[in-house]
Amino acid sequence: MGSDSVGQFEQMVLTAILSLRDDAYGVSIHQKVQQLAAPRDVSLGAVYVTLDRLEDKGMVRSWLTEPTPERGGRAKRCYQLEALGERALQESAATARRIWETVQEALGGRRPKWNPVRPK
Amino acid sequence: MESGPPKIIQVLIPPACREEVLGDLQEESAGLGKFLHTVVCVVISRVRRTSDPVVVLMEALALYTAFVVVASWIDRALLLDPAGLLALAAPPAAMIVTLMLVDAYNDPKRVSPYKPLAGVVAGAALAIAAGMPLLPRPVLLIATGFGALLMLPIRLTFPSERAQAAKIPADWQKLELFSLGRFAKGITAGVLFALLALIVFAAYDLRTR
Repeated sequence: MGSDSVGQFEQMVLTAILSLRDDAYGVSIHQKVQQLAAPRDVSLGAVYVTLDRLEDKGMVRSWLTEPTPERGGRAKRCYQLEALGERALQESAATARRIWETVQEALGGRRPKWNPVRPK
Repeated sequence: MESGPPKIIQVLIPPACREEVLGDLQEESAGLGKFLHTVVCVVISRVRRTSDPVVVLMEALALYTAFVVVASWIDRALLLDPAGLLALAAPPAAMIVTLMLVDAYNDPKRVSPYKPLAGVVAGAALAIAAGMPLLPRPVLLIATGFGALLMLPIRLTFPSERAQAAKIPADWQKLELFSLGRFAKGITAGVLFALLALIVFAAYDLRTR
């Protein structure tokens, strides 16, 4: 597996960052990933580890914002997708689509019983 | 009343990411178990970012070699026994783990030419503590000193900041090596030379006794 390929959890974190746009920081990304991974429970620590790894791979970039009172006067670290991250996410989505089409084709066009639950 | 993570959690989070992690934990307001789990994940991630596996391997080899050389010099019986060879690996392992943790808890905003020295001193202290019940005192002390001297040039040449370049500006990497003034360099070199001479003298003295 090359360094520009991403695992399933990394895909969820990248998707969360993409969908949250300017409000992508630790807590909001954690909440979004929990929605995407439901019913599986996701810890905040696992999100941090993945964010660090994605940053090392050059797929996301981060910066600190101004401190806010609701966070006890502490700053947020916001995240944004880099071009490499967007490309990796697009490739993952294309692969998932191909898998989905193959499964549908193999089942003769009928809807598979294990249709995944969509996040609310 | 402001509810946030307990003081101990605040101290346990590495300084490089303390600000944002504490803010997030304050917002999430979870239980102590979840706080601790987050801290463990953050520390592991920090260790992964600040430790270069090649440099760690190089340090481990240098340390173990130092212990084997000193044992062959002072107490050759240690090398003939598998338990002795294993005991010789305990202090280097303790020193490597300490160095990795010191790097993880290193604040990248604070630049000091003495940072590599502080890590090595802490590592040597833990190595002595770990080796005390396993190795004869002369082997332990001389090998730890010898190993610490070998660690310094490795850590000065490969500072831990190099492994975490993604999160800090590139100039931090250079400051660590070149911020040492000419006077401080002279003092450090003198101290290192004196230490080396002391270790060689002690080893020679023990051998001829």
